[in-house]
Amino acid sequence: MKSRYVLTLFLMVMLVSPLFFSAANAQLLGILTLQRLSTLDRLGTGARTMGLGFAFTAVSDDAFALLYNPAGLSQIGKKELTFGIHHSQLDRSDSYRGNLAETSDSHTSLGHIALIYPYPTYRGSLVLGGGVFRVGNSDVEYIRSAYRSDLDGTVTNMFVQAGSIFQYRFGFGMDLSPRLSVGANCVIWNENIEYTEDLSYRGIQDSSYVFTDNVSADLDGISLEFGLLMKFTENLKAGLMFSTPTWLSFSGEAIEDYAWTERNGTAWTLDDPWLYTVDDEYTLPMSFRGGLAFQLENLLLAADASYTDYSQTKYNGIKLYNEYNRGAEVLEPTWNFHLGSEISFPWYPIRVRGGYSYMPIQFVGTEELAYVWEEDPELILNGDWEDYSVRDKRQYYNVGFGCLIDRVLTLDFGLAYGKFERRTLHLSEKFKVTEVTVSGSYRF
Amino acid sequence: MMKHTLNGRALFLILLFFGLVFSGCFTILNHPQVDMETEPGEDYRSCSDCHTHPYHVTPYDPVYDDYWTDYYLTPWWSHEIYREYGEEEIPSRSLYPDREFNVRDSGISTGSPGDSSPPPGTSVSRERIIQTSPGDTTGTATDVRKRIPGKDAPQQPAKRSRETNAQKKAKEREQKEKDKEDKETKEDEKKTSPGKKRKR
Repeated sequence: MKSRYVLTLFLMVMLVSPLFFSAANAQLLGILTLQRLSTLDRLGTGARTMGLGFAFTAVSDDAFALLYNPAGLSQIGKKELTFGIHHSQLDRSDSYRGNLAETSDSHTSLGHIALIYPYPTYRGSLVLGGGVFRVGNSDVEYIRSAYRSDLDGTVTNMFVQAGSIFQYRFGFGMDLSPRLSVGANCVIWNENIEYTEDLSYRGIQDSSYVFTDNVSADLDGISLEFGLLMKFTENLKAGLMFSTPTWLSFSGEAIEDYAWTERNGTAWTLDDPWLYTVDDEYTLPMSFRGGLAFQLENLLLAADASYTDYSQTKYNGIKLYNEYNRGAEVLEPTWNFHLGSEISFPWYPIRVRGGYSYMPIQFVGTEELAYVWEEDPELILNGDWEDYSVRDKRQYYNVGFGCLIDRVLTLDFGLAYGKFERRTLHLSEKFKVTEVTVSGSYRF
Repeated sequence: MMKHTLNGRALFLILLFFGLVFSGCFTILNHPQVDMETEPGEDYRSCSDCHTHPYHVTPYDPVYDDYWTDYYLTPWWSHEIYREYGEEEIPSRSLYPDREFNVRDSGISTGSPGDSSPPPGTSVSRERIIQTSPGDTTGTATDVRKRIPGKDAPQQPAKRSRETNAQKKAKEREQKEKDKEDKETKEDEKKTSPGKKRKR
């Protein structure tokens, strides 16, 4: 815990305006939006890649080269149609001032669908591919509720959001020499977000206040990726991928509504809910990813490392910063590590996998604890911004298996289980994440 | 709407990348133009006259367990090349692994008795046939995935050891026509041409 910042906006209920919020806390709200959208926490998808702990940059010998290293496309010799289902389960417990609230949220959707076409060549390889991949999960659900003696009432903060980050990827890979391949991707981001935030207060003499914010927004973006694949021997490969900065646009519409009851029993509702629009831009920094793969006939070992300096993230053209502590970083450079292995059996076309992923949280910044309180006769909307301290860094344990049917169809299953924990002065959050992917690939 | 555009430097790097990639490199889409004239007495020229494999393999191709070799390594257009090789019929896939549907030369065994690996239909099976020496009907051959072309490849190009019925009939027809031509030529007391030329 570094510090705590309390912002009291001292607004009368009738004057609460998102525009004011934007002006006062634009940067902090930008950080909050990035966190909630999980744009920086993209886990990825794919049953085989998941089983390998997402260590796939140097392997990249199927359609997921589009996601991990487009140069790997050059290794594909057959046309491939692949499809996957992705299921996410998030179990979360929020302890706010000693009050525990547990939520469980699951989401099942398309994991990916992609088509690969190797162009017939006389020598070398030229492979084209395209597909859509669900790379991130923006489902968030939490309840923070506690009696606050300093406010003479119970405050509750409830947030429910649903969304998935999809990337449309179009790329190619080709051989520059028998040992060296290159590739490139154009990545188009798309996400539809719906979220509801309820801030409520229940004070003495049955006075109460409920503030509701319903937002429907779109996230669109674009980035480019360039990959390199080097085959040192028939057993050892190295992959490298570079991603350009990602330009994201977040726009949408929102409706704010509120109702309250004063201590004298007078109840008020808003006849005309407040409408407003959101139009923000983010620039995520470039990133680098490298990996090694050692492959024998029946054994594959793979390792990946990636680096992104998230402190360079920009919000509406300005590097994100903490408005109440300019010297403090809100995002930090991050190294991710992935390890995976795959064993195939000589007596039957089955492969089993195991992997490990270390993906620490990029946010060292703040979390908002929004609430309403009453200062008779006024009701005041407040926001506490508190710094995180990460107790348990995020890591995933992965398993999976796959089989080949009649030499043309592979079916794969992957499971990733992860957990992490973070805290502020008054809040403790524990996350347990279970990701399951089932996919099939037909080569012809 | 996205307000950002690529700046000049980024655009230059991207154009440079694509320029280098597509300006000419190892990857070649089409076969170079070659003289396909046949030698006297030869019926046609086959890809296997020059190539030991219907597609390029490199010593750097990754290794896979036999079950997965065809799935990962054999290009889909290699079947088209088999057709160009003069095959009567493209090998088809079957649900029944014991059926030797993919054997290009029915008289050649793809392995020793009881050898269940690799299963019929994998590229290894095909490769073994292609790598078989002329006249060799035993089917013994090495796995080309581990062969470095030019280093330990056969000195003589592999040829098909047996003809299909359709080719036999075609050859008989051609021989009859040739005999007829020779007869007519002798009668006309003219010299015969050294051989028939055919372009592919």
